[in-house]
Amino acid sequence: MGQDSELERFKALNLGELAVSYGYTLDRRESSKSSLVMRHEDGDKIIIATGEDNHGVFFSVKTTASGSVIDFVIHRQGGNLGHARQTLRRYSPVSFPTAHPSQIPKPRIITTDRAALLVSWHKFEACRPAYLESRGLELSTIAGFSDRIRTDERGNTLFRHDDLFGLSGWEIKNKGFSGFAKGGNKAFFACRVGIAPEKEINRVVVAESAIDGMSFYQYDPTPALVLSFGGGLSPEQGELLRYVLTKYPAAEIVTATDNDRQGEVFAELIQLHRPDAIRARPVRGKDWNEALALP
Amino acid sequence: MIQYVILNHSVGEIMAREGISYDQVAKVADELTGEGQQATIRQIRDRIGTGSPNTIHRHLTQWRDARPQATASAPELPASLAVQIAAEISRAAAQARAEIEGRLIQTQAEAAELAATGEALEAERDNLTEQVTSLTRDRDTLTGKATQQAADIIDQAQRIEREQHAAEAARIELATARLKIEAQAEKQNELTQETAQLRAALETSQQARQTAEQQAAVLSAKLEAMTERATKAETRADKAEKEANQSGSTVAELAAKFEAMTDRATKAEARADKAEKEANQSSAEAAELRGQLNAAVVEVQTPNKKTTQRNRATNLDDPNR
Repeated sequence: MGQDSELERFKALNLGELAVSYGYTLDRRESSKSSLVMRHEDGDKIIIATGEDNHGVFFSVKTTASGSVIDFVIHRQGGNLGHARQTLRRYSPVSFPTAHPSQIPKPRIITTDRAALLVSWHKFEACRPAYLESRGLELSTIAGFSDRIRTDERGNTLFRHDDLFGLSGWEIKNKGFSGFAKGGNKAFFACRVGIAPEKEINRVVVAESAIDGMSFYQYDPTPALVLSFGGGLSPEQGELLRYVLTKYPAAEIVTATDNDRQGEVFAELIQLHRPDAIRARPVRGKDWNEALALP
Repeated sequence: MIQYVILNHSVGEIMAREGISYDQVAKVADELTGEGQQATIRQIRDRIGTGSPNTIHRHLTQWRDARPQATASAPELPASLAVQIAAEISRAAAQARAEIEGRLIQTQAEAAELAATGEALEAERDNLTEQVTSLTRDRDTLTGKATQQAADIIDQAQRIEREQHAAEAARIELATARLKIEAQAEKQNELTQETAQLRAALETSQQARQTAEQQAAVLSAKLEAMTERATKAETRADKAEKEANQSGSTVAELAAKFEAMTDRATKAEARADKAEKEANQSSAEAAELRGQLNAAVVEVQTPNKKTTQRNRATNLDDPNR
């Protein structure tokens, strides 16, 4: 077998399974169909994705290490390409010394741009609550959403957006400032709150902004999938909304959009897809966050 | 909760049937015969209370075979007739007996065959009954196990659900704790910054205080000097006051003199003003006169006019004149 073909064979290995053999465990809550988040007890955290060439790639969150399965082996055990080859031959062709290798799925293929977004997202700091607290949200509420919120180096609060292919960007919020990630696309801020992974979703709450969705949950902390689209609704977001609303036919749909004309338009749109949707209109204030601030 | 199913089985149902003995059947048959009753299968079975009809039949047949046949007494008839009748009866009876015995033998053979078949069937039935009992027991055991496993599965599912809820609650609690720490850290950071600002302000304030203290010291020294000077001045004033008090009349005289002098000065000033006005007027008049004089001189001294005029003018312009 030639060296090139051997390298190609190595690159086709399931990187997630290989990581398990090195002691990494899958963080199911942070993982998605297009990316795996894996942690090691020594504190290392990596993201695994599948590149456009169908090869597994990894990114270290705490260091600058990244690359193919070969780079991963070098990242973990040091040495050079020769040493990595020797190690990977032990896994030939696809056997791993793990109890249940099939439990680590191979992520779906993603574009390079998405991979870059993914790495940036995971390198941000965990959510710092000061801004959200200033908006009237309690720590226990913020905690329920905290794995979908991060803080950048400027102290801005970031709300993760996902589409059917995984992370697509993030809303940026701070006092007197709103924006969206450069190079990203608006989709949905979507968070399962109060529902364990793999459990059925019985309630879907739709709000205009992430903070409105969180505010509504503070009012009514019933376990739900809380969605927000971050202001306007693009055609792509409209299609995604239709998909989500019809994906859970047995779930209760709660429309928690703003208490204004535009909020009613969104409510009508939701009602088109789900005539059984319930309209939750804030009694006070123009939206659910303002309702929190009013006495 | 784990549920258990306990199955009760009758031992008698499970064990194989033992069967009745020949002696039992023979004893009851003797009793029945002694009572003047027919020894039939049903009668015997009723007396014993159990037993396979086939087995009873087999033992009863054996009992009947072993039993001596009863002999009939001869009727009191004339000997010849009796002999003939007896011969005829004997012949007819022999014929009938032969037929009946033949049929009896056949029937007995058939009955024995049926009994044997019946016994085999009973044995087979008992065997099958035992198998059914065993299978029923197995089924019940498996049903019990299945019920228990179903209960276990429900229990496990409930436990998993509880664990999932607990895990979710723990995740929220952990996240809340982390956020609290983060919030505390932010507040700590703010406090640190505030402390640094306050420290800087305090330092500035201390420097200002030091400067103020220095200035105050200088001012204090100046004040002290001024106080000393004031004290001296006061002393002098006191002294002067005393002297003034002592020479009050002198002051009054001096004041009068001063007033007189002032009056005189005012008057002198008025005179001086008047003199100045007069002097100004005289100057104007003198200038006019000089103009007239110059004009007259020009007319008289026409030759050497220019030079003479210049010299005169020079002389006239001489302020010492």
